[in-house]
Amino acid sequence: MRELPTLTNQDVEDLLTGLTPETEGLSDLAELLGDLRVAVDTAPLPTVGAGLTAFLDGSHEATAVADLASAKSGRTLMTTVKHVWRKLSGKIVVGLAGLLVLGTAGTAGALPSPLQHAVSKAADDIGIQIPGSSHHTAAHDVTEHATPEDEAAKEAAEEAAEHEVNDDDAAHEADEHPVPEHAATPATPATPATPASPSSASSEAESHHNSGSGSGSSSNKGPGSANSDRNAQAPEVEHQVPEVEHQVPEVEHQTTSTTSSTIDISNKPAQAGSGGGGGGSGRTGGKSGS
Amino acid sequence: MQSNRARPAQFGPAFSPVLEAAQVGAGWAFTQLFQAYGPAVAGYLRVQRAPDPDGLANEVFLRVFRGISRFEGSEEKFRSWVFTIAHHVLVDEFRRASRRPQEQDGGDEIVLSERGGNAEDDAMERLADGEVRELLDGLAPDQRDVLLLRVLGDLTVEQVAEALGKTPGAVKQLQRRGLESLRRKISLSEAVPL
Repeated sequence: MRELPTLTNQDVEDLLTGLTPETEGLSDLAELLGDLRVAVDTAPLPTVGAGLTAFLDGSHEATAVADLASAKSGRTLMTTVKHVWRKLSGKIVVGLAGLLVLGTAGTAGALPSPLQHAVSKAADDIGIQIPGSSHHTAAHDVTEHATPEDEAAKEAAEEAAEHEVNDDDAAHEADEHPVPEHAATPATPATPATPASPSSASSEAESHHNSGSGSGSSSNKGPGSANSDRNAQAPEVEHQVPEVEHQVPEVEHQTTSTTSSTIDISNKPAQAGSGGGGGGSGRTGGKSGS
Repeated sequence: MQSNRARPAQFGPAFSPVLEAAQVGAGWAFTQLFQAYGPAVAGYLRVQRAPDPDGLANEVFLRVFRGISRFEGSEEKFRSWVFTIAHHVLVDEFRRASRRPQEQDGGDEIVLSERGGNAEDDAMERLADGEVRELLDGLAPDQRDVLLLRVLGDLTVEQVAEALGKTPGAVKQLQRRGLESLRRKISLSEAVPL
C-alpha cells in the first residue's frame, strides 16, 4: 500500500468546490466527487405531491393570500384590542368603581345634596329611580322655583276654602296642613341629603307661628298699642305682609284667635308693648288662649 | 489546477425575477425553481439514504416555497438555503424513523432502480448507487453530512457549520478527515476491486 500525501487546505477546498488539485494522487478522489455531483444533478425530478402541486399550478395563491391577509388582520385586530384594553382597563375599572360608589351612596341617600341631586337626576335620565330622584326632584323643583311660602300658602288657602274651615279644629288643620307637607319632606329618603329642608320647614313653621303671632301682635297693636310701638313694629309687619296675604286662611283663622289674643294682650299690655317680644307675646297669647 | 466540474448557475441573471415572482406566489416561478433544484435535492436525499426521497423532496420544497417571501440573497445563497432545509427535513425524518419500528424494506433501492433513460444516466446511477454510496457509507455520519452539503449543496464552511450546529473549525476538521477517509478507501478499492 503506497504512502498517501497529506491534504493541504488548498487541496481540500479544490476538491470540495469541484476543482482538481495540483497535488498528485488526488485525481481519483476529485473524479469521484465530480461523478457524485453529476449523478445528483442529473437525477430525475421527484414525484410531485398534492401539496406541492398547489404551489406549482398557482392555485395556492388565493388561499395563501387569504390566509396571509386573515392572519395579518387577525393579528392586527388582536393587537389593537389588546393595546386599547391595556390602555383603558385601568380607567374602566376606576370608572366602574366610582359608579358603584356613587350608586351605592346615592341609593342610600348619603351623598351631599348637590351630588345627590345630580346623581338622582342622572339616574332619572336612564330610568332608574333612586332616592332624591324624580318625585323628590319634582318636589324640590316646585319648592325651589316657586316661592315656597307662596305655594304652601296657596295650597293651604285652596284647601281651606274648600273645607270652609271656621272653627278652631279646622283652623288647626289649616295651620298644620303645610307642616306635614314640609314635615313629609324630611320623611322622604332624600331629606338627609338636603339638610336645608328641615331647617326651612322649621323656619316656615316658625314663620307660620310668627306670622300668626305677628298678625296677632299687629292686630293687637293696630287697635291697641301706641304709635311708637307701631312704628317700631312697622317694618316687621310690612315685611310679613305677603306671608299674611298668602296665608289667608291662617289670617282669617287667626283673626278669630286674635280676639282671644287681643284679650290676652289687653290683659298684658306691658308685654305687648315690648317690640322684640312680639313672637313671645304671640306664643304667650296662644298658650294662654289655649 | 483545472476545473473538474464547475457547477454552472441554474438561472444566472434571471434568478432575481424568478425569485421575485415566486415571492408573490407565481406558480410558474415555483415550477422553475422546483425543476432547477428538485433533482439535486432528491439526489442528496437518496445519497443520504432517506427512506422516501421523493416525499421528503416535496416536503423540502413546501418549506422553501412557504418561506420564500422572507428570503433575500443571491442564487448561490438560495441553493445553500434549499440544501440546509433539505438537511433539516432529513434529520427530522431520521428522528421520526428512529421512533418507529424498524422495517427492512428495499424501497429506496426500488426508487433508484426506476431511474434511468440512457447509458450515461445508467452509468451515473451505478456509480451513485454502488461505489460512491458504498464509499460514503463508510464515512462517519458527521463527515458524510459535511462533505455532501459542501459538494452537493455548495455550502460554505460557515453555512455548513450553521446548518449542523457546529463551529467552522469543527467543520474544517470533519471535511479534511472525510476526504482522507475517502482517499484511503479509493486507494484500497483500486488495490482490491469492489
